[in-house]
Amino acid sequence: MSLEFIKPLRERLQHRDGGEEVELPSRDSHVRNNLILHLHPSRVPAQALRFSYTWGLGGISVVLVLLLGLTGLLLMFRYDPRVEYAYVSIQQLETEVMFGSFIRAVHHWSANFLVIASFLHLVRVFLTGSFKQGRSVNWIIGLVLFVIVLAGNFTGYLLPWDQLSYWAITVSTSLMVYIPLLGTAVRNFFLGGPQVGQAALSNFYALHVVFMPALLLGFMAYHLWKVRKNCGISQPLLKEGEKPKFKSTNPYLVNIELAAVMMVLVVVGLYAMFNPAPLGSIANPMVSPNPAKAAWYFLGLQELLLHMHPLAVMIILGLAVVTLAITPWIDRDFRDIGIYFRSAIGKRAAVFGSLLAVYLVPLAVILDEFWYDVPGWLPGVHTNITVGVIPFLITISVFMGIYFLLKSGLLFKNEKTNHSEALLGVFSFMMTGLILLTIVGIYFRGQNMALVLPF
Amino acid sequence: MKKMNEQNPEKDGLSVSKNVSRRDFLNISLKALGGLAAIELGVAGILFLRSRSLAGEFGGVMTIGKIEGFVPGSVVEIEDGNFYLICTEDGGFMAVYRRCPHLGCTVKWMENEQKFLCPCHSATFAKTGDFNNKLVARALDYFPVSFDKGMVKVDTTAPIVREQHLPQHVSYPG
Ligand code: HEM
Ligand code: FES
Repeated sequence: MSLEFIKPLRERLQHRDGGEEVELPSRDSHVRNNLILHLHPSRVPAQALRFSYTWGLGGISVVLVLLLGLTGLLLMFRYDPRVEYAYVSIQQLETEVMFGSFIRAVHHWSANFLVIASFLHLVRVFLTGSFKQGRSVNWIIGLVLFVIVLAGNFTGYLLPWDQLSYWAITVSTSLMVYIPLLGTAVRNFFLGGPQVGQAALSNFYALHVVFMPALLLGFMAYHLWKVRKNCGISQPLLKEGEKPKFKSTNPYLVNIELAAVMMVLVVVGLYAMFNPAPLGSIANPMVSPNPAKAAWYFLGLQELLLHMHPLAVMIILGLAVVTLAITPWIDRDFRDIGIYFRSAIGKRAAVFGSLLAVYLVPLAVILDEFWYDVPGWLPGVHTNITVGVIPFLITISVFMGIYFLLKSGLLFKNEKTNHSEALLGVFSFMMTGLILLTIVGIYFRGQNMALVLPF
Repeated sequence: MKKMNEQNPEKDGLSVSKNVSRRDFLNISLKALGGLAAIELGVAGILFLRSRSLAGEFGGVMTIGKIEGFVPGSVVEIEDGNFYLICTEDGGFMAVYRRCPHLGCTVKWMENEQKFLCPCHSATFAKTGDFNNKLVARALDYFPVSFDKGMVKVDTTAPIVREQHLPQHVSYPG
């Protein structure tokens, strides 16, 4: 094969790298390069290669998705999606099948790590303002990806058909009933009936093994293509007269990626060896376990449910998602793109938001458990108001309050934060609050969902 | 398209139909037909999937046992029927669905405390099914009870939703 046609590229690379003589690439390195160049440009900005900028989180998510596909395919050969056999087939996998427990554990932990990795990726994209400067569409694709990741996890959760899965799915799908007007119909549609049973298992199986993976792969391809269309990942604006520094993709970016792949494989592999995926006792519709908890990534939401009406929780969640989705249009100031926390004052706004959550959220949880009794204080008022409208309005005003407090400049010796930095403060409050609620739900809720100490 | 209309010599304001060029017409028809096909496929898909939920998981009318078999003041769990059969002090019967109206867990009858407890978010319900907790604004659902030849029968086709317990939810034999 003639190498003539890549010559201009090679010459440019040689020039950039100092111009020493380089051997002609071998045939397979040529093929390899060609493959790489289908995904990447030939050169990338040096700045974009800093590990402490992306933390490799997007790439790690990609590796986890591929690992999920591979292990999921293997599991499919052994799993039986009928209610009488589902649990048994998982038990066999755990006890009789060679490497069955390991493959299941890798699938289980990759799925859980993917939730964490894509959440952290979302946070880093927000903190560096990387949804700006023409990246609004990719930000939305990213949000869709996150929802797909959660939905994929959720549909997979039912499949082992143990007490954990049965009740987690029962509780979560009962939430749908609170959607005004359509609620019961929507729940019945997803479950194929009023309760979790064979129809629900068939639905979730189909969604989990075909629908969600197909959706995920499609959107992931779109996401990665968009990163390239946006001329690579974000970076700070260049100063006047500054020239961007470039490095060749191979080996600089490729080596980082290979390292990330190895790291993910080693971490997930080791973790899965020492921690088999959990399996409770077989699903029993007669007995709800005490406490009955949703999957851990939904425990923040479940915690909110202990404090307010499900409809209020759903509206807050909906508002949060919509606000995240339209963030690129609310915050269009791209002068601070590619800079963590926007600026020094933005960093203080973020720290303020997080610290406030660290104080307020546990305080609110404890007060509500031991002291607060709005329905008791307002006898005769409908619970829709006492546990619905009132906590909803309080939550919304806290969010608004943080924004206007930061904008007012009262906090930092009259140094005002700008719009973008104030939003960052609200975002930090929200995400820290969500994480704290999740921690409370995982570790501090015991029998009857009462507050307990885990130690 | 606009441009073409402007150049269109036929566009002289004589009639509206002449404003639509052949290309526009085909374009619009194609879109309309495509939209129609998409709607049809969507509806067909939903109906296909929905039919499964109509099959349902509940039984029809279940015969539970002899009327005299139930002690007034007792609560018996009927597992296959998804409900508790309550026999009131004055000999009436009520079948309450065992699903918690909050988020669907199975409520437990606590004999000592004489109430239903939901283990998931600790809602409690009185013996009549009335709610007793800030989280749940609704009593336990119930199934209609009927009597035939001295037997108690419960129609489990669909639970009946109610705001709160009312005396007419209790059925009396004879
Ligand atoms: C399955 C989940 C996801 C995968 C596999 C994925 C993959 C990637 C990859 C490989 C990159 C390149 C840069 C990097 O590694 O940070 C990237 C960038 C990006 N991602 Fe994701 N991502 C996912 C979810 C998300 C989510 C949840 C969001 C936010 C809502 C998001 C928004 C973005 C944006 C805006 C960029 C461009 C970043 C920049 O220009 O600096 N992605 N993604
Ligand atoms: S499901 Fe019964 S209290 Fe929440």
